[in-house]
Amino acid sequence: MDIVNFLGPKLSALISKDVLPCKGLIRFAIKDAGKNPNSLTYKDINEIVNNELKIRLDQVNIPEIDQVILELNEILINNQSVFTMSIF
Amino acid sequence: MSIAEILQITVYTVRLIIAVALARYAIKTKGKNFWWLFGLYFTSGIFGLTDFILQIGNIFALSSGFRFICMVLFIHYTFYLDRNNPTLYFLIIYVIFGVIIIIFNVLFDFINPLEVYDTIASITQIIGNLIIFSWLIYSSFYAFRNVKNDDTVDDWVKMRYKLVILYSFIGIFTAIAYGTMTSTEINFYNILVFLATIVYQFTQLIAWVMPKFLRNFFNRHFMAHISSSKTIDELSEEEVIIKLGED
Repeated sequence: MDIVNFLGPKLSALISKDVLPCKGLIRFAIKDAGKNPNSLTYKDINEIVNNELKIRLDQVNIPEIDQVILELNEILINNQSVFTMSIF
Repeated sequence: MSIAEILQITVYTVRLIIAVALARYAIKTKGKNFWWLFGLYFTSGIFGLTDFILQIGNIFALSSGFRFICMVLFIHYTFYLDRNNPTLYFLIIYVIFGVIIIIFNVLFDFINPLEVYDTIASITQIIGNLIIFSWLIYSSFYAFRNVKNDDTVDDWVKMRYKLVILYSFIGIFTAIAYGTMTSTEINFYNILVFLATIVYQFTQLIAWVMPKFLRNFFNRHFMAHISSSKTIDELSEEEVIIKLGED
């Protein structure tokens, strides 16, 4: 399951920006966390969203970051089985 | 060897094959959910085969409670992290069910075998399966509904949800059928149960040990969509900052 592809459009809708830079931001956040994007667990993704991605969003001056992170968390919780089920 | 015996061996072997695949996923991702599912299939396969080889009877029943608990924890770690869940209640229920099954199906049967003890154990098994599979169907269905129209989720993952829902329904049917079966003679009902058992094992095998060619087949539309939408390369850090700064 490609987390960048999955979360990119959702982040884009939340902050009203293009999908491509949003995917880039998520890609860099994963890199900041020192994780391999191909073997992320639900917990890893949760931590990255609440830490590295939050910092990245702050660095590019996105308004109402806490609300964005809260909504991303909700999306993650509601769709957690996409990550816990998509192992092969 | 009778058809029923061949079926029994096949069922337990399939469960062990699934267990090996699940152990591989669990090691690869450190996913707790797959360890619990591994526990379910491995215990089921090993206890079933032991029961079949030794012919002592009731060895399989010993693991019932543990298998139910494995299933509860699999569902918990797959669908209910960081959200309200009924896991604790289910755990309590299945510890009680496990004890009832051991007492009536193993202990009492050993001390003083009476049909009523087997009936109580069978009813407990049926209710246990009905509850756990219903919870799995409910959880999978709602998770699937969330991603059904999401084109960023691989189609093979959506197919895994569907297969889990399908085998859970068949699981309820076979649990009731085996729990209420009165004879092993060949008749329409028993043939139906036999076929359901084969489909049940096959769907579980496909769901959890999905071979690569099948995964690619289920994913063919998703891959075509991804390839057609990949027109621009990944952006550099600088480009990301510039793009996000634009209104």
